[in-house]
Amino acid sequence: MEVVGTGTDAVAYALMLADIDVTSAYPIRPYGGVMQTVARLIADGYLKAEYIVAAHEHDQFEIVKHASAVGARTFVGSSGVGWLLAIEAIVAISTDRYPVVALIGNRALDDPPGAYGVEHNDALMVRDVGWLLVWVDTAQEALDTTLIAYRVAEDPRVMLPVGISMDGAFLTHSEHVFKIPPKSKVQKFLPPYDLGNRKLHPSNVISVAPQVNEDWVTEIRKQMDEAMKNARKVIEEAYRDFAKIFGRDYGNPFVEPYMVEDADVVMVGMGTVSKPIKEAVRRLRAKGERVGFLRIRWFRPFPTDDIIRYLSGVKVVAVVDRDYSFGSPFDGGAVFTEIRSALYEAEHRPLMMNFIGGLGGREITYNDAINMFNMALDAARKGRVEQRVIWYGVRE
Amino acid sequence: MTVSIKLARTVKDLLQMAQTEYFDAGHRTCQGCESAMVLRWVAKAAGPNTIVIGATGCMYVANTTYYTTAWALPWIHTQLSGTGSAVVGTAAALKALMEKGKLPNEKINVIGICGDLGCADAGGLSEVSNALTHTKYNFLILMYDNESSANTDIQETTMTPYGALTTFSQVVSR
Repeated sequence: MEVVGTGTDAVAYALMLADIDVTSAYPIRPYGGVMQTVARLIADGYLKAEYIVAAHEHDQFEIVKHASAVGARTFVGSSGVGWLLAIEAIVAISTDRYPVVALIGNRALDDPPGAYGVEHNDALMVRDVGWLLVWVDTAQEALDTTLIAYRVAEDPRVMLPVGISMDGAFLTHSEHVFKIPPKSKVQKFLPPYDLGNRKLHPSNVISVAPQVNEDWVTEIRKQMDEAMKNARKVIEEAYRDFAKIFGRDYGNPFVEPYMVEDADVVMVGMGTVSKPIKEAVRRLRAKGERVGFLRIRWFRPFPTDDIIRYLSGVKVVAVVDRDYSFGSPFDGGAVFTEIRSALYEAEHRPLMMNFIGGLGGREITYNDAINMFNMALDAARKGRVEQRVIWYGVRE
Repeated sequence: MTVSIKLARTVKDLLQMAQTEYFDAGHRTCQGCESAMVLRWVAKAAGPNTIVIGATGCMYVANTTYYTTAWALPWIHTQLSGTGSAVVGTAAALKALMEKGKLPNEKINVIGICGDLGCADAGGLSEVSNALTHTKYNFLILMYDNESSANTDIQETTMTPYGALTTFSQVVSR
């Protein structure tokens, strides 16, 4: 069935298909639309789930953590400062190894307050604590990725939560045409949630998360490290099965390469920034410039091998960060810093530039993308980068 | 919000109740610890069809030090202020799973245990407050009010009586 809906609507339909058992809501823009659609789906009888309006985000995430512990498939979400208010519970979800799936409607952090627009720093706050993080680009990808997220998170080899990041406003609130697959196919793709012998129930008398100190914490963290590394293989399997069952093939699950073969300059970014950049790639290619784009889908686990495969030997790599990482090694963005680290292993290390832009929801337009490419092409011709990190369009 | 309590109707019942422990050996509370005693009797009354949730506090630290656990009931930790959220999440999940036929339909007691720092302070009060609005779920919240943050060196909480001496009290030494 083909419908028109927002990015958050698409996630809500995926939750219906995944037959979630428990969800918890608290209002904040721009993720909140998903909970409004879920409420309607329950009211209209399309989804049977316990819907709990929480006291605040910490409450919200703690509720789903405990629902997950007794074997319920759960969904939760937030944005910006709401996501950060929940951080204690968010970390406990991953350290307790519960496969919660969350939507993060990316939003700038306070202060200044009321900046509803997109910035990726909210989701990136949890990049080190055992959450898988994925950025989606269209409503269809949002729906599909939600189904894939449950499959990956609940895999016994992983058992870690997944955060699905969606650019606030640009995707949460824009309307797209997307396909809703039949439930029979979803059941084929997504097995029921089974916690096995970790399920908290009177028939299974266990103590979960007892107090341990230096004697066991290292081992518990190492198990998470193994699970996160396993996730790379499990994600690959999930996309392969997804293509087989639903007939939609995303190609490489981790990154979306766009005209990167033979490219001298490749821009890299996450989320909806792909739209103006892809358009710029097409126009510049038409003029004979060898440019390309690489969209990062999965940020955790980080696609190190793919980054090296696609970017080794390129003359200039220009990373667009819709985030900041003040005081980081080259005072650039978080994505830039990660890619630079990955490319240390590349046989032919490219020159690297970083554009920090689009903060607080400021639009990155087609013209901006052309300007960025021209700066990167200039560096490629000269064979050196004059300014490594550029705050694009900043008024000084 | 009702917890099914097995009433002892005969001497045999009483004897069995006296001999069956759900909060058993394996804890390291002091002799005469009133909180531990309360937990023991609450567990006896609730019986085996129970899930227990313990917020961070002395009754968490003292009762579940890995490799031991005092609980012969399924038990899980919740964050310091999470008791209200945890009982709601647990009870809601049981309801959903039973209604969907994913779990056998039976009455399961959900009991959340917190100290005064957990439930009366630290944001816990708001989560308890919210939990009390979800009247369709079956749970019990038990706050053991020892009038201080006992586990962390006897600091003041909002439940500490006026004039009581805690390690956070700004008293002039004479």
